[in-house]
Amino acid sequence: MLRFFYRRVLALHPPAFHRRFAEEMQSIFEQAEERSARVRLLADGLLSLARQWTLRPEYWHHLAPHGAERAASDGIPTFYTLDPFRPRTAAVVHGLVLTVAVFCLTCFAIRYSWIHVLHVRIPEVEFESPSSLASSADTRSISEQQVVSSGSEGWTKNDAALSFSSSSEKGAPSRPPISPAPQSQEAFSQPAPPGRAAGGPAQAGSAMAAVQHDSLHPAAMPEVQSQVGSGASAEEGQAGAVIQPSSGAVPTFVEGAGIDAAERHRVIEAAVADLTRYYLDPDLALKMAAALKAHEKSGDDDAATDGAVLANLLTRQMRSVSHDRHVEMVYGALDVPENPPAPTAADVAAYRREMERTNCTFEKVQVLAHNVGYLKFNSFPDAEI
Amino acid sequence: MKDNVTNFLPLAPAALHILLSLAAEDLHGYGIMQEVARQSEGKYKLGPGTLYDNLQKLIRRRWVEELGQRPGDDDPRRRYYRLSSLGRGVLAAETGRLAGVVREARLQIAKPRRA
Repeated sequence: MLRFFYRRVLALHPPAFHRRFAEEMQSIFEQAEERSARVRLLADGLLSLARQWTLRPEYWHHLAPHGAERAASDGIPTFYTLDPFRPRTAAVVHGLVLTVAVFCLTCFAIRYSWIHVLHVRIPEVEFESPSSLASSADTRSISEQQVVSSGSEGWTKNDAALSFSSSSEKGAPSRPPISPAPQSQEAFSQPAPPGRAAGGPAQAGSAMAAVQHDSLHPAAMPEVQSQVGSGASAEEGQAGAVIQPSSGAVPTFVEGAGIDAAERHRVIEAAVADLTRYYLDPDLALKMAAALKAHEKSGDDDAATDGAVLANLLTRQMRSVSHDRHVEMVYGALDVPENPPAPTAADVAAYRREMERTNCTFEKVQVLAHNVGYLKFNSFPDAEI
Repeated sequence: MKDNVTNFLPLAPAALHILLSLAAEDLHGYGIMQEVARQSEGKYKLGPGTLYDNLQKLIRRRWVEELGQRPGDDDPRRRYYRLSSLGRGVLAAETGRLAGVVREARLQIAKPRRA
């Protein structure tokens, strides 16, 4: 029995060691006649097994046979290779410890270093004038270039584009035309395209700023602008499907507004209507609408007497159902008309001039390395203009 | 050459005893174990695992040469080993180092201890 175990122990040794010394060790074992001596040899074999596998990796697979390393007879020097070389276990452990230490130190340095050397910044591309853009367009076909955007901003723009396409697929009617914003409102730095919500999100951003002044009139419509569908947020200043349930001919700045139960109900009803009408996923829209109504019925919205608070509350309620972070209700201080008048010829001309001045908001067109096209545009202007 | 030898000193007890056992004649593994036990008067016993672990290192360093099997031996599985000239030089260097240690130790022991 002991012999069998000893043989198995020898067989478990590294191949090179077993091939070279197992027979001799077996011979020595068989010469021991006393049981105690064989037990000691078995223990010695186990110790050897552990030692060979843990402390002798350099001998696992290679042990130069006798006479193999002889000088070449033709005078050509013998070269040794390191192929069978295996580092010592201690060296491996030291290397592992050193690697972990360097890794932790690097992570620590990246996290807490005041020299942000790893902040990779894409070099700015100079703005190309419309003339140069046209000339470059002549020489390069845009369709052959891969249009990319940098950073999350670019993805947001693409999402906004998807939002428009989805809305059109659903058959949503075009927005009633609204006149360009008055020049007195500084937030309207860019005229809104005729036939689309005036100012777009830029107006919403301005409205958000106005809400902070708490200057809404109690009788005025709450300028709750729910951006429905996957689109850019108002703060990002991107074009999106802005739905404005307010009424009135011209956006006006109202003061002293507050939110009472009737206003909350009207806002919620308008949001429900816009959701079911414009949201990309009709089923999800119904769920969000049901959630809004349920919260209203249970009195969850009663404490919201401020416009911004109510908008944030309704946004959370919609997102809790849809998990769509692009769904947002924005409270604005501007009274946006429900059916604004059609833009005049002067408005259209002004908008067209602005688009020509800003190159239709196309800011950069460039071919980067590896023939990657880089196209940066800041909005989705009305193509019909 | 001498500098290279001294780089390996001092030797581990097992390596020293194996080299010493092979100094007089070529031996197989079991013979080395017996010779080590004899030279140390039974105070140092090598197990096969320790023996062959050291033998593979000594062969790798070319201090010991493997002669292979001998036809007339009782057990054909036995392989004989021989101390190489390099191994003999290492053994001589280690012996000289130990002699110096012993000499110094005797001097220190013979001196009266300072108060």
